[in-house]
Amino acid sequence: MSETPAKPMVELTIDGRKATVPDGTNVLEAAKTVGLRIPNFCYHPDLTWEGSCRMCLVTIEGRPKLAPSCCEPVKAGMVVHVASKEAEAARRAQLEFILLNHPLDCPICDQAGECKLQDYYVEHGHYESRMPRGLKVHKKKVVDLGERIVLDKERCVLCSRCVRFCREVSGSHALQFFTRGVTTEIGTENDGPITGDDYIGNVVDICPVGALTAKDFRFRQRVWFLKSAESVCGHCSTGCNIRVDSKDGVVYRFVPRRNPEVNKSWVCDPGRDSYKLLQGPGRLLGPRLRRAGVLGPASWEEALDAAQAAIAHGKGAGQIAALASADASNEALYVFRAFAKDALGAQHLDYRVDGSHERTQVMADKILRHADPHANNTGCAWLGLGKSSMNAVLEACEKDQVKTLYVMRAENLKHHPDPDRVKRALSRVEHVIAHATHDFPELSLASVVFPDATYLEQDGTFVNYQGRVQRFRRAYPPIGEAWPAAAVFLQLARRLGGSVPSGSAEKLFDEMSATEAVFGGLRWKDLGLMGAAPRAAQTVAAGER
Amino acid sequence: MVDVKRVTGPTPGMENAANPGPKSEMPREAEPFRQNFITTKLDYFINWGRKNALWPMPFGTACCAIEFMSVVSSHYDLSRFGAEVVRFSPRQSDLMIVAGTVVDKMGPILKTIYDQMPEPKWVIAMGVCASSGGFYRAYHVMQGIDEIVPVDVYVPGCPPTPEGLMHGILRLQDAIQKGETRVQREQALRARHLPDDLPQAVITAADLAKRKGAA
Amino acid sequence: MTPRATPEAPETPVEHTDARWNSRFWGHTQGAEALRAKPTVRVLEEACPGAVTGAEDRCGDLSLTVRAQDLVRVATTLRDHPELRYNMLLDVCGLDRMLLPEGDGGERFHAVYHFYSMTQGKRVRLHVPLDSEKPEVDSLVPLYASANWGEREVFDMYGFKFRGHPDLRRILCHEEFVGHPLRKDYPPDRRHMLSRTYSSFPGLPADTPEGQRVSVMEGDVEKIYINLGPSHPATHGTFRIQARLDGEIIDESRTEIGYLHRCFEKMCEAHTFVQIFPFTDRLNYLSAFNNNVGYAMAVEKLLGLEIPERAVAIRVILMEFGRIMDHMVTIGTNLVDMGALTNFWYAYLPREEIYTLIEACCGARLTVSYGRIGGVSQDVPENFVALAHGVLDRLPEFVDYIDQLITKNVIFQKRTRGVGVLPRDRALSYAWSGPVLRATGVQFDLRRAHPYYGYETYDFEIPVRTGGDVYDRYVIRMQEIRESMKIIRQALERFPGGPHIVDDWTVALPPKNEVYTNIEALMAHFKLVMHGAKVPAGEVYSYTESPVGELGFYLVADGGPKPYRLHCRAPGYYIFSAIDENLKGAMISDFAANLGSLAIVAGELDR
Repeated sequence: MSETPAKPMVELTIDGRKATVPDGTNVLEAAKTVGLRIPNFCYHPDLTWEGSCRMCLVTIEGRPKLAPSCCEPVKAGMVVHVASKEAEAARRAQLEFILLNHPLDCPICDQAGECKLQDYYVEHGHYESRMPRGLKVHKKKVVDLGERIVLDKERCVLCSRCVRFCREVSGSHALQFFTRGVTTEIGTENDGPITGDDYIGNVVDICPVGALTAKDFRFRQRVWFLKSAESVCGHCSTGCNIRVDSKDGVVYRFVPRRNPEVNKSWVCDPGRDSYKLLQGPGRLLGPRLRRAGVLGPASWEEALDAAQAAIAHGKGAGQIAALASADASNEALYVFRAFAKDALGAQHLDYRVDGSHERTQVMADKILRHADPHANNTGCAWLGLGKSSMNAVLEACEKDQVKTLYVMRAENLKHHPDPDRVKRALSRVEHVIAHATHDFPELSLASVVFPDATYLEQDGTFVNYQGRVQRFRRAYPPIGEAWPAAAVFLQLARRLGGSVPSGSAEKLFDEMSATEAVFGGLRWKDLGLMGAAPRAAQTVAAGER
Repeated sequence: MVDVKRVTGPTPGMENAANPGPKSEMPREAEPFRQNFITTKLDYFINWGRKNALWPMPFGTACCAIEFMSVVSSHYDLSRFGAEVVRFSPRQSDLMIVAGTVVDKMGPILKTIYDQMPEPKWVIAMGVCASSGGFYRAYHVMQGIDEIVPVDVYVPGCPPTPEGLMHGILRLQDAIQKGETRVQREQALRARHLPDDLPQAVITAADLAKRKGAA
Repeated sequence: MTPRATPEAPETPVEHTDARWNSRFWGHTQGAEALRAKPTVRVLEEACPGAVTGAEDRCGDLSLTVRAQDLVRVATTLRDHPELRYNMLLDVCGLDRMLLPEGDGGERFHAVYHFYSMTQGKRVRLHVPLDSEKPEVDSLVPLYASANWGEREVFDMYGFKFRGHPDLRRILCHEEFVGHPLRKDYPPDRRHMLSRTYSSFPGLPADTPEGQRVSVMEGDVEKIYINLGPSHPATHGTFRIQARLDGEIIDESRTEIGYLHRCFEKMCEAHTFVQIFPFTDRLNYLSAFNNNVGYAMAVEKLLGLEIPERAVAIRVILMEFGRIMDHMVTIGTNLVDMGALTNFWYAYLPREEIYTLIEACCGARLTVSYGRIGGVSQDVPENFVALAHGVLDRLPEFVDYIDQLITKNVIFQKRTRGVGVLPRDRALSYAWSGPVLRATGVQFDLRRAHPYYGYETYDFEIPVRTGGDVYDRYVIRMQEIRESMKIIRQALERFPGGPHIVDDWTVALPPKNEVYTNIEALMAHFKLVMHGAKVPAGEVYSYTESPVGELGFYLVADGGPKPYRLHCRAPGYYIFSAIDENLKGAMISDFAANLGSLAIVAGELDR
C-alpha cells in the first residue's frame, strides 16, 4: 500500500471531548476516535459517503439544522453534539420511519443477533410502536440471486451499501435500486442471478440488516451461538484478515475483518469458501502407518516409533531430505528448520515444492487475490528454508540418494508441475514421513502419515505478500487426533536426541524474531489484530536471503 | 391374600379358577378349589409381586428430594401404588430413587450405596440433574448418574412434578412386570448361559477419563 | 413503553465510552471529602495510617481498599474500636479481576470481606489486593470464627493462602480436584473425577470401609468413630459428619460439605442476568422465591431500578409464604428426626396448599423462577387475593395442631431444652443470622433493621428468645409462621393494582401481545433474550432476610450481559460452620435434634 502524504490535523469538539483527526475525515469517524459510536446504516468506511439513512444526524453548533455526520467533513473548531436532545429525537424518529414496513422476521432471520436494527432500537429507540400490522407494505421475500445470495426485499432499509459495493469495489453493477417511493427496492435486473462476481459474498457482510443473506450460511446457525476467532485467510498470499465463526469444532463461515492495509473490508468468494476445504470430507483423523506394504491406521505411539526408526535409518546413511510447507505458520517453520538441522541432519531442505513461490506477488484478479495459493511463501523465504531446490531433492531421490524423506505437508506435492515425476521419485525413497491434513491417493506412498492440524486449529503467524506479519488465532481444538506439526517435531526431536525450540506460539515468535534479523525485532504483542510489518520493511524475493 | 381380580385382568395366558377361560368344564370334586387357586407362570407371579411391593430408598440430594417428600406425603400418597415403604438403608430396599444433583464428590458414595442394595434392584433417575446433569454443565457436577450406575427409568423435570415421578414409578412397574428392566435382561442372559456381552453396566472413572480423552 | 428520559448534559466530561449508559444511575459517587468524613474511614486513618488506600461509596455501601499487610490490624480496629464495633464478619469471598477492562488497575486477585456492625447498623466492605503470583494474606480466624469456612471456601475457589489458618483445606470441591474453579482462566465445565471417598480423620486406619464404625483404644479409653452421611436419613441434605465418641459423648467431630456443590457462582458467570434466576431457585429450594428476590434486588440496586408497587406486594406476600413453607419443612423434619412423624404430615399438607397458590401464579411448585429483574415474570391470577386468603384461613389449623401436640409436650421439651446451645457471642462471631441467632437473644431481623419493600409499614413482631437451644429455635419458627401470616394479611388488604414488572424493555421483556404484533417489541425481546439485559459496571452487596438468615448477594458487573462475579452469602453456610463447636461435648442422641434445628439446606450450603 502506498504511503499517503500526511494531511494536516484538525481539532474539533464532540460531546465535550477533544478530537484531533486528519483533514478530510468525516465527523462520524472523528467521533470513533474519542470512543463515541454514532449509529448508521448506510455509511461504510470503505465505500463512498452516501448519507441516505439519516441515522447519524448530529447537532453542529452554528448550523440551523441537524447534519448527517457521515457526510460532514471535519472543520477546525467544530463543536458537535451527538447526545443532544434533537439528535436523539431525530434518530428515534428515523428509526421508527425505517421500521414502519419492516416485517416481524427476527425469529426466522439470519441477521438476528447481529442486526443493526435490533441494536439501535435497544440503544436509541424506545418509542412505542404506532404502526398497525395490517398496514405494512409487503415486497418480494425470497429472491434467489444466483449461487450465493438470497434477497429479502422487505427487510431492506435501502442503505445502498450493496449497490455502492457492486459499483465501486467489484465493478459488477449487479445490484440496483428499482421503482420509487414506498415501493423502492433493491434488486438485480429482472431479479436474475448474479454471475461473474467473485466478491459478491461481501454484500452479505455489509448489509446492516437481514435483506441479503448467504445461501451458504442461511438457517445453519444462530449467530449468538457462534464462537469467533480473529484469523487470516490462508487461501492465497494476500492474507486477508478474517473472523472464523465456529461452534463445537465446526466452522460455519469466514467473515472479513477490516484491515485497511491489506484487504479493506473484503474477502474473495473462493477464500470465503475455503473453510469447506479445511474441514470437509477426507480429513485425516488419526496417524497411519505402513504395515506389510499397506498403509493403515495406527496409534500415535506406533507412528512416532516408526518415524523414529525411519529417521534413524536415513540418518545413519546420511541420506535425509526435508520439505517444508508454505502453508505452515512461521513458528512451525522455525521449529521445523531446527528439527531438520539438529534432529534429522537433513542433506536437503527446501519449501518450493510446487513452484508457487514465484507467483507470490502476482495478482490473480484486479481486486485482492494473488496467484500463489499458499499463505506463507514469504515466511518460508524469510526463514531461509530454500536451502537446495525441489529439483535437487527429486534428483537425489531418483539417484537413490535419499533413504528418508520428511514432508511437512504432503498435499503440496500434488501441485508440483510434474506430478508423475514426483510419484516416481517418491517411490524410490525407502521411507516417506508425511504430515497431511487430508487423505488423497498418493498418500499411500508414505510409510508414516501424521494427521496435521489446519491453521484454524492452532495459533501462529503468516507473512503475506507485502511482508506483513499477521496473527491467526485458534478457532477450535484440532479435529480427531490431529496434532499441530510443531508438537510432532518436538516429540521426535526428543526421541532422536536433538533440541528444537518449544513453547507457545507467542514464545516461539518472540524467540524467532529476536534471532532472525528479517523480522526486524517485531514482538508478538506488536502484531495485534491487524498484524505489522517489520520496521525495516524489506520484501525478500523468493529464495534469496 | 392375592387379589384375584387384579391378577386375572386382561393379560393373556392367565387362567384361574374364577375365570377359567374356555376350559370351563370342571370335575365336580374340584369345585371347592374354585375360589382358592390360581394358575399362572411363576415368573409372571414373581414379577407381579415385585412390582407391587417396591421398597424405595430415596437417594435424595437436592430440590428433587423435596418433591419426593411431597410424593410420599398425604396429598399425593405413593402408597396407592405399593411403593410407600421408604427405607433409608440400601440393604432393605430394591428401588433407588436418585432425587437431585449428584456431584463428583458424591459419585463414589452413590456407587457404594448402589452396590449395597440386594438384587433385584432398580434405579430411577428423578429429575434432569440425575438424568443428564441438567443445566449444571459445570466443573463439579456429574453429567447424569448413568456415568456410574445403570438407570431403568429417567424422569424429566426440574424437579419433576409428583405426578411425573408417579408416572415414572408406574412405568418401572410395567417394565418389571414385562421383565424388561435392565437387571432382568441381564439375569435372563446369564440364565441362558450366554456370554455376558452386554455393555458394561458400570462405567468406572478410568473408563470415563479415557472416553473424555478420546472425544 | 415510555421513552427513557434523555439525560441532561453532564457538567464534567463523563468517562464511560458508551454514551447510552451514562444516563444510568448507579449509586452516589461521593467526593473524597465526604468519604473521609465517614467515621469508619476517619478512625481507620487514625488507627492504621496508610492502610486504607482507597475508599468508595458503592450504592450506599462503604467499600475500602486495604493493603494486605495491614489487614489484621484494620480488622482488629474494626472489631474493637468503640466507635465502630463491627462485630460480625459476614462474609469472605474472592475476586479475580483478570478480565475486567484495563485501566481499572491494581492486582489481579482481591480478597473481599464484608463486615457488619450491629450497634451501628452499618456495613463495610474491604477489598484486599493480593499478589498475582503468590496470593497470600493473614487469616482472620483469630478474630472472627466465621473466617474459618469463609477463608477455606476462598482457598478452594481461588487458591489464596491464608497464613495462620488452622485447617486450610478444600471445602466444596472434592479432594482430587485440581485447580481453582472460580479463577477466570478455569473453564466452567472442566471436571475431575473422584476415585474414592476420604475420611476426615486422617488417623483412621486406611483400609476401613467408609461409613463403617471403628473403635480405637486411646490409653484405656475406647474411642468409637462413627460416620453420618452424606446419605443419612437424619442429615436431610448432603453433608457428612464424622464423630469420635467417648461413650455417648461426642468428643470431636469433623464436618465435610460440598456434596452438593453445583458450581452456582461459576454458572452465574456463564449465564446472562435473567438466566440466573433458575439457578437461584436451587439455592435454598425450600423457599425458592426468596432467593429469586434476593438476587433480583442486587441487580435492581445496581441498576437503580424502582419496581412497581404491585411487584413489591407480590414479592412480600410470596416471600412470607416462602418463610412459612421453609419453617414448616424445618419443623416437620426436625420432629421426624426426633420420632414425631405425625407432625410431618401436618406440616406438609398446608405446604401443598401454598404450592398450589404459587403454581397458580407462575406454573411451578418448587423451583419457581418467578422473579425477574424489575418485578415478577407474570401477573398473579385475578383471584389471587381470594386464593391467598383461603390458604391463610386454613393454615392456622395445622399450625395449631403442631402447637398443641408439641410445644408443651414433656418428651419434646426434655429432648430439646438446653440442647445444642451456642452462646450469643460465639453465634455472632460465627456470623449467625435468622431464627437461630434470634434464639440466642439477639433481636436482629433485616426486615426491621434495614427495612426493604416497606416492611417498616407492616405491623409484626420479631420473636426473640434467650435460651439458644433447639427448643427456642422451634418456638421462634412457630411464632414467625404466625407473624408471617399477619404480614400477608396486611399486604393482601392493601394489594395494589398496576403493572407487575417495570415498563423498561432494556431489562424486562415486552408483553407478548406486543412482541407478536410489532417489530419494535419483537426486537427488544430478541435482544433481551439472546444478549441479555445490560447492567452497568459496578459492584453491590444486597441482602434480604431469608427464612434461614441473611441472604446476601455480592454482585460485580463489568457492563456486559453476564455478571462478572456473583457471590451468594448463604446464611446456612455460616450457621453450619459452627456445627463442630456446637456438637463438641454433646450426646450423640442429641445430634439429630440439633442438626435439624439449624435448617441447613444443602443447595444453599454448598451452592
